[in-house]
This record gives sequence, C-alpha cells and structure tokens, in this order.
Amino acid sequence: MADLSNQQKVHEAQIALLLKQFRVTGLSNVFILSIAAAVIWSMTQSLFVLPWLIVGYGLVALRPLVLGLQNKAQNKQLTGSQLEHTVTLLLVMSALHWGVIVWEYYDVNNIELFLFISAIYLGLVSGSMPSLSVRFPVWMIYAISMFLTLVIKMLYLSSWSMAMMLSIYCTAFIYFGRNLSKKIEHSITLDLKNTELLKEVNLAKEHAEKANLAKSKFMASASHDLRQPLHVQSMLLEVLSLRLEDKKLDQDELKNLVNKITQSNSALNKLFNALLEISQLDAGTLKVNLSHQNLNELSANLFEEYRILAQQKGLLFKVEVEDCTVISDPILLQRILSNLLSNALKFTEKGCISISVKNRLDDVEIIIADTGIGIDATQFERIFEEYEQVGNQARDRNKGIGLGLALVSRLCELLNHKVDVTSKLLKGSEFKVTLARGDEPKVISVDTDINYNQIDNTQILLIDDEQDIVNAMSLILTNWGARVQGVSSIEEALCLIESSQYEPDLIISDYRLKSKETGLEGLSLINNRIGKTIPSLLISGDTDPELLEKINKQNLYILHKPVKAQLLKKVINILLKQ
Amino acid sequence: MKNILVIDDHPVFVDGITSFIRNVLPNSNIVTCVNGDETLKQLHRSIGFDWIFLDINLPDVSGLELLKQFLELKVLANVIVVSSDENPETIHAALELHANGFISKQFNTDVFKKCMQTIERGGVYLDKQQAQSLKNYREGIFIEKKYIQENISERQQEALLMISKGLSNQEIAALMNISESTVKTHISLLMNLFEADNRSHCVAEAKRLGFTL
Repeated sequence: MADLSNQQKVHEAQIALLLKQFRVTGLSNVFILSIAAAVIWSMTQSLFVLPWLIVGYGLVALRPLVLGLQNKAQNKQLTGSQLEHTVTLLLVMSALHWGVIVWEYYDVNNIELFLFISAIYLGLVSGSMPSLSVRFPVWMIYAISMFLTLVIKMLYLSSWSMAMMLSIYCTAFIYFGRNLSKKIEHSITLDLKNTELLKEVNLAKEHAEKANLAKSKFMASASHDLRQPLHVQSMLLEVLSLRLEDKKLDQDELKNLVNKITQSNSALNKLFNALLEISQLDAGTLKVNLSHQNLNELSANLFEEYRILAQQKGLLFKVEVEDCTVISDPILLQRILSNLLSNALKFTEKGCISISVKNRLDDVEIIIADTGIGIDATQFERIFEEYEQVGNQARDRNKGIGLGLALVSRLCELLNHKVDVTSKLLKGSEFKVTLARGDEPKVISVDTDINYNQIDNTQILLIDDEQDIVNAMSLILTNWGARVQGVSSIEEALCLIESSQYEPDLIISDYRLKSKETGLEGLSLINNRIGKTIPSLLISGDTDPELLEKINKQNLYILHKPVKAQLLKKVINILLKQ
Repeated sequence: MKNILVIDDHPVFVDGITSFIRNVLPNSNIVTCVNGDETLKQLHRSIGFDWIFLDINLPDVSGLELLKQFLELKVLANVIVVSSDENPETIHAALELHANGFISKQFNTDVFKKCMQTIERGGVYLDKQQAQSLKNYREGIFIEKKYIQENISERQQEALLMISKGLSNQEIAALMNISESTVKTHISLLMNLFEADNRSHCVAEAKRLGFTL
C-alpha cells in the first residue's frame, strides 16, 4: 500500500513538473512559429502561412488556459490524469498544426525548404525531450504524431526510403526519451524520499527535544521536592544533636522532633516510590498480569481505608458498588484507584467523596467524584502530565508532588483502561475509569493461604516412651490435620506395621527410648521392615555434640526438647516436601 | 539468649537491622556475614541460630541459593528475607524453600515485631501488597500448570522425567522402547508446551510450575 501511494506521489510530482515545463516552452514556441512562418514566406511567398501563424499563436494562447485548469485543480480536485490528457491533446493539436506546414511545403525537390522543415522538426522533437519526457507517454504521443505527419507525407510522395529513415529516427528518439524519462523518474523518487526522511528526522528530533525538556523539568521539580524534606531532616537532626549535647532534652520535645523527622522521612519515601514507579513505566519493566477479577473483593479494603480517612477529615463518603467482574491487574488497579481517591481526599475540604461502580453493556465504569477545588476545563490535558499541579505554583508539598495523575494515566494506558475527567472549578471533579468486563466464571480463586500446610491428612507415626508427651504431641499434630498413631516403643511400632500393613508418611521419634534403644536404631529397623526410607525426625533432650554429629551424619533432623510447635511444623513441612 | 545471623552486604543496613534486633530482642547474640561464602563458613562452624535475616541480593550468590543450603545443612532457624526485591517470583521461590517471612528494606519497628510474632505463631509473614502479588503470581502458575496438565501426554511426562535426570535421547529411546526420532518429537512438543528454549530451561519451567520431577 505504501508503495502505491509512493507511486502516486511520484506521478503527481511528474505532472507538476510537466505543467511547469509546458508553460516555459510556450514562449519558445511563439518564437519558433514566427521564424518558421517568416522563412517559409520568404522562400515561397505563400500567403497561406499567415492564417497558419495565427492559428499557431492561438494554440499557444490556449496553454495558459490549461494552466488555469491546474490552478482550479487545486480547488476543484481535478485529477492529475485529466490535466495530463488536456496537455496531450494540446500537444497533438500543435503537432497537427505543424503537420499542415509539412503537408503544404515538405518536398524533397525543394532542398532548402526540405532541410529547413526537417531541422525545425528535429529541433522541436529533441527540444521537447528533456522538458516533456517527464511524463513519458505524453511526450511519446507528441513525438509520434510529429514524426507521423512527416512519414505520411513521404509515403504520399512515394519516397519509401525517407519514410523508412524517419520511422527509424522516431524509434531511436523514443528509445532515448524513454531512458531520459526513467532517469528523471528516479531522481524524483529520490527527491521525494529525501523530503520524507527529512520530515521524519525533524519529527523525531522534535519529539526527543520535547521529551528531554520534559525530563529536565521533571528533574528540576523532583530535585526540588527531594531536597525540601531532606533539608528539613538535616535541620531537625542538627537540633536533635545540639539538644543531646546540652543534655536539655525533655521527653515532649524529643517526641516532637522525632515526629517531624518521621514525617519528612515518609514524604521522602513516598516521593521515591512514585519516582521509582514512573521510571519503571518509562523503562517498561513494570510487569502486567491481566486476569479476570472480582472488583468487589479487590476494592473493599481500599474503600474501607479511605472511608476512615475521609471521616477523619469530616467528609461524607458515599459508596455505590455493583457486583462486577473486570479484566485487570489487581495490584495496578488498586494503585490507580488509591491514587484517584487520595487525590480526591487531598483537594476536598468539605462536602463528599463518592465512588460508584457500574456494569455497562461491555464494560465497567468506576467513577470517583469529589466536591473539591475542581480543575479548569483548559487544564484537563495537562493534569495527566508528570509534575503538573494545576494552581500549585508554590509547590506546596502537603499537596503532594504531582505524580499521582501521571501514574494513573500511564497505568491505565498499560492496562488498556480508559480514564476521563470532568470538572468544574470550585465545584468538584469526577474521574471515570472504564475497564473491560470480565467473565465471572473465569475468576480464579487459588488457595490464598500462604502458609503451606502439607500436614493435612498425613499419617504420622509418633514414638515416645512417655505417654504424656505422646498425648500432647498427638493433640498438636491432630490440630494441624495429621492422623497420628502414637506408640511407646520400637517393638510396638513394628507390631503395628506388621499387623495392619501400616505405612506412615512421617515418623517422629524420641531419641532415647526405654530399654536403652535409641530412636536412630528404631528408625532403621522400621525402614527395613517397610522396605523404604520414611521421612523422619528425632526429638532429643541431649545436647551432646557427639550425638548431634552422629545424627547429622544420618541426614536426619533433630529437634531439642522443649520443642517449639512452630519449629516442629516447619520441619514436618520440609520433610513432607522432600 | 537468642542467636541471630544477619546476612547483608550493606554496612549501613546491617547497623540498622542490628539496632532493631537489639530493640526487640535485647540480650541477643548477633553474628553478621557479608556474603554467601562467609555465611556457609559460619554455618559449618555452627547451625544453632534462632533467626536468620537474609538479603536476597548478595554479591556472590543469590539468597535463594543460600536458602537451599540452609535446608541442606538442616538449619532450624526461622528465616526472614529482607529485600527490596518484591518480585513475586522471588517471593514464591523463597517460600517454596521454606523461608518464614518477607520484609522490605523500608520496614519499621511495628512491621519487624509483627513479622516475628506471626512467624512464632507458625505463620508466614508477607505485607499486604506482597501477599496480593504472590496470589496473582500463583494464579498465573495455576493457570499455566492446568493448561499443561490438560495437554501433556503420559509419554511426554515420562520423557520429561528422564530429561530432568539428564538422560540422552538415545538412553530415553532405549528406556521408553521407541525410536530416537520419536523421542525428539516428544521433546520438541514438551519445549513448546513449556515455552522453553532448551532442555534445561524446560526442566526449570516444569519445576517452577510445581511439577514433581
């Protein structure tokens, strides 16, 4: 397609050039007509040349009319090819006009006139080649019609050899004209390409300069905002250290100072986070995970958080939420909404903040409205730019740093959400986020419990010679979902395995059992009997380093009495996972 | 008295976290290591720590590698990963390696205390945002895994298992009693399924998605 439009452009340029040349050759045509008429008259004294000359002038005078057409073409959308046809017609007429001279006076017997007319013809055709072969077909028709008159006359005079010669000349001329035309076309194409490239380069340059300017502005504002809290912190820290030297610090003052430092610290923190996010967006490293999400679950906490903040500021907080499913990234969407809510909160002193979530035909609309200071309609575009804070020339830090809406708009772009603003100065603002609707059945709820509990339904064999411990441990393990078999000795354990094909998923054994057996020996006996190594852990009251090393060599976990439940759980989970 | 190990290469941060620990657990014995190598040497001397604070970005090895080593050495300490890396993939991997909690480097005393309490009660500590992004990530894994489970054939599963053991095409062909070219077809289908560039990538992806190999 691009190629086609390129061709069209080349065509247009060719026609423009053709018309220009056509205008220029008009004058020389008048000159040649006059000379030809004068010479022929002086040779033949024929009065016929007079009307011929007048018709010739008339034909030349028609040319500006065609040029007038070109001017009109710019208004009336006369196509290039229509102009081309008109030019061709005029040229053919001019060729026929010359043909009249040929018909009347071209004669091999009058050598002088014959040479003169031949010279004029060759001059006209070769002279038109560089100027008119811009559009090869136009020039070709002209050249052929010029030669054709000569050839016809020669045929009429039965001068076969001359007719033959002229035909060959014509062919050669056309061949050269074609080559020239191709060269001209090539140079026009290159020219057009150059212009286009230059345009692109200029555009890119402008873009880069604009971006650079925006960055500089951004940096200037950012460094100002960064320095402010930093400066405050240094001052406060200085005061603090002076007070410490004087040893005149009372509790209240200390608390006050620390509070202030904390405040400016958290301001810095927020600023850095926002900057980080913007730079992540710039670098394209922010990962987006789009999925079907239930909006209510997602936003309930967020709305609750802002409800409390609004109440603290004495504002009404209205929430009107329908049950909606959307396609979005829950984390980024939360960031968008919380930026919009905190903005609403920031710029509203009295009245209310309201949120409405509505299902529409194909999408879901979230509207966050306030009755705050509002935004002038002329500023709607600018508020989404980085570091733009309308009407905060003094850059009051309490009003934030002007990154919130920039983040909102860029996150929305990333997520394919639409964000719109309507607002009236001093009346309030309304931000609308439009999201694609999701399918309720596609909402996935994965077990959100981050505490992996693989203990559920596992068979645990517990070996301890003290019944109290067996009871207590069983209680804990059952509580975690395990099914526990408690035994007091290795013998009993082996019996259990033998009698009921019992095969535990995990064995927990005391190291020191009655009758001098150790858990270590017991475990290997049990493993032998079952025929495979069951994940096991030992519990011991000993802290004998040699013993520990021995157990460690067996690649077993050993827990020390008293065993902390949390640790036991962790080790069981590790073992079950292996 | 608690034994505590702090692994981080930023001296300022080590100072900061040490003072936090002193504040929450007075009378604790704090050992610091600045890289993975030093940590392993320390653990070979003694594994008797109660808490380990681990920076996930260490100069020599990744914190995840150290977590593996902790399991290998049967370190019984509770491990809190302290990091500015909030990537859910990292969090997921660390939890799979039995880390007990995550705190970002911007924590305060409250977070610190809450984290330790949650862990002592047998829980895993993540902040809200981390929990949400982890949930997201696991959803993603869940979907991918389900898709693969629905599309993988039994023979491909067998082949995958053998690749993970490092067997060659020839060996796999002999074990599965099929021709080598069929093995190649199975493997290229597997790589498509897991969107992997080569065998080891394929195995890594399978592990990441929680296939037991």
